[in-house]
Amino acid sequence: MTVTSIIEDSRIKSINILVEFSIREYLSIADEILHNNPFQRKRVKSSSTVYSLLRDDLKAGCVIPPIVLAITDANFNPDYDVDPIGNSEKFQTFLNEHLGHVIILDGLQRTYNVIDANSELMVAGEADQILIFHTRRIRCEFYIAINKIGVLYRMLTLNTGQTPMSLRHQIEILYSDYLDHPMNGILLLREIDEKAARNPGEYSFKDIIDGFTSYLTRDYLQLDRSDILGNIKSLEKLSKETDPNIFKDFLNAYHQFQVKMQEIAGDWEVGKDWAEENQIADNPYGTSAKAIFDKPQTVTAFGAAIGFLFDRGLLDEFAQISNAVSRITFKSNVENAFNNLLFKLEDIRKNAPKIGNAQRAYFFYFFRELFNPEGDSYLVIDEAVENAFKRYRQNA
Amino acid sequence: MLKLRLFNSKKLYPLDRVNFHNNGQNERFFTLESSEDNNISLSISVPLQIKTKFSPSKFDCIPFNSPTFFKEQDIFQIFVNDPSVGRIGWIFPVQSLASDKHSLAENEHFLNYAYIAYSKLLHGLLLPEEQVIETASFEEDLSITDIFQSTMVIMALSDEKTQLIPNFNIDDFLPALYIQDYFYYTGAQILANGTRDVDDYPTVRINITPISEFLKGEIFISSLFKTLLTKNNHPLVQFHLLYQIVELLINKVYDCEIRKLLTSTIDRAKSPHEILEETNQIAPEGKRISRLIDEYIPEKKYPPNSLIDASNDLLRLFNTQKTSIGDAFYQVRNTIVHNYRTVSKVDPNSKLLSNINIEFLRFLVDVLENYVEPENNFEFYDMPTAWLLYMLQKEIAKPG
Repeated sequence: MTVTSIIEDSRIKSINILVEFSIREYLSIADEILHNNPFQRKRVKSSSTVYSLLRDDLKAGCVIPPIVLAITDANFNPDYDVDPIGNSEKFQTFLNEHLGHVIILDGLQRTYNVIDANSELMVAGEADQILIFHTRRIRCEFYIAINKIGVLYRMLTLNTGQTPMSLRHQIEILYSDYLDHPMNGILLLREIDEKAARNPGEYSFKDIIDGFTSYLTRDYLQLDRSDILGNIKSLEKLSKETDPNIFKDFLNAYHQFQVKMQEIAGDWEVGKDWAEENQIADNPYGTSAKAIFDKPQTVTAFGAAIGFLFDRGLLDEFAQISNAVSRITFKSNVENAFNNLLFKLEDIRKNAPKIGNAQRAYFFYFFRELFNPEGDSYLVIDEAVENAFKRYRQNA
Repeated sequence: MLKLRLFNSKKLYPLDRVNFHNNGQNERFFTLESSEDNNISLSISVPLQIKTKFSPSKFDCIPFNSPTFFKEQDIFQIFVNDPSVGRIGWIFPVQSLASDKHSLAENEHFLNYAYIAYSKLLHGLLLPEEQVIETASFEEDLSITDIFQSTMVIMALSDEKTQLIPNFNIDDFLPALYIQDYFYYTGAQILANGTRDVDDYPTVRINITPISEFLKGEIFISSLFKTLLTKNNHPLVQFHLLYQIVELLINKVYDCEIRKLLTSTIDRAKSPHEILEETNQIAPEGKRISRLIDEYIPEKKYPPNSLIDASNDLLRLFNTQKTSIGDAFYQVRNTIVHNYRTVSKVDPNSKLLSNINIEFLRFLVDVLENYVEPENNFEFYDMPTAWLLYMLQKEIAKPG
């Protein structure tokens, strides 16, 4: 492994290191990356002919464009007094230490084809041929940065390939190291059984990623398959995000809100008699405060609404949410407020063309009302329930 | 069968391999693959826990459009007017298949039918036209609403149940479905408006009644409710199309009445002169309309005042008022045919005419369902009556 060039990316406050690996070295890294990060395993079969040509070319010794990788939450201090090549050993050590955090930004399909070409040779190739293949050189660029948002921004700007990844998928890849690792009483779980009892502070990784994506895009709706402008719109928002702790801050604010809701709801649950009297369906939006605010629709709306309040200058930082949460109250009582909330959600269920989107829209207004310091419903649940419904109706 | 085309390509790949996979609670999907290229594998996610208990071959799915019931929650059971048959199926929009947010998401019976619908849709068995999916690559994750219009409505019927209905043909139920705002699917765009009152929206089930036995097989009725009404939404055109039902029925009434008269000749109860006079009496359109309403619709469910009132709202502008339903719509017809240039001035947005059409449609569907012809054993091959018929025709053909 040889470092051949080191350049600073001032835009995302990162350094970019160009490295030459032997294919054997790259294969071992690639294997580790794909093993560590389940979200990078998605491969595309867009054209068998093209990829089979590429595999044949790789075996014959072709040169492919550099594969772009990133190491986040890490800091590498190169020695600028020596040639880049003089940093090779230091970088090798750094890479070995952070191998679990390496992700592929651009070149996932090329990586798969290198792996496949290798497998084909191992099955049908001569020993000499394999040796020659393993010793060929391949170029990789590493972005090394503390800030994941910066890397996300770079991922999106680099992503001009034929089969672009969705923003959501890229966020998923980037933040997958938060999965299954507890932090400040919060645990993100990959597989969530919606109906199974969950411990306080346990959330679905997928739902939180959805919520965070909504925060970054300021949009409570998930991007449409055909919305090719989606990534471009997101870029503009992302280019303004500079805080490296933003994901943790988002997660923490949401967690504080959840904790508060469960605290004030106590043992409130939807009463069967009440549900029957009010013709609430057998499966209401949620039967407890936790269930209501755990739903992915609620989390995405939370993200989008907070983003909205930031953009309007009504809030400046997530800490304000965490502080405000402790002062959330009711005008009437828990039962009235939450029953009314479910009643509104049932109305939405009956009348909305797309129920999930409408629920997201409603909760978007709910959180806007609840956390807008200049609004009439600030930190009062009943008022937010009612006024959000008015706004939803006006805009539905 | 559905087909795949990559963006910027002309080649079509048949998606002839459709399989359902259920890998536990959170992973259910169909795959669409092609025998022409093994790299093709489209994945269609299924958020509902659909049940594969029934074979799709034992069910029939029919596409509809609805200007009113296209929302995820608009899932209804279908019953016919015969209580011994019970539920014959379900009706729901495509987007109900792509959501687990509606209240039927855990209803086992609905989930059986949801599987049937997915299967029929993905095998390309629902729509007559070729369905081509366009993607950027051979391998994509899609939703059923990426392939089919999310507001298209599917009626899924159990063959086992419909076989209990003698000579079952869905065409016979189209008028009943039409007035409940379910229009037979003729393309993504629907021009006709819904007419169902909000107070009358269904909650769980919809009941459908076939047209009268005496009208089954009338091609005009099928084509009217299948295409003509949905493709033409101008109130004037709608009125004329609906009035064709009246024309059709009063012709049938005329034939029946003549048969009745001719039967009376067999026992010489009436003289040829009397018969001729009576034939002349029934000949005018207005008279035949009255006869239709008074004698051919023994069970009237439609409250007549609604159509009379709607008609009078327009007729009032021409200083006319009618008190019977037949007179009312016949007078509207005459006013429109002879004086539309004035109607278009006094009712410039056709609001009054649209209101008449709504009531006229409801009235006519009631007529189509309850039309009964009197029993008649007359055979035209009877020699004496054949002669009489010849004489009558000669009389009628005389000028003046």
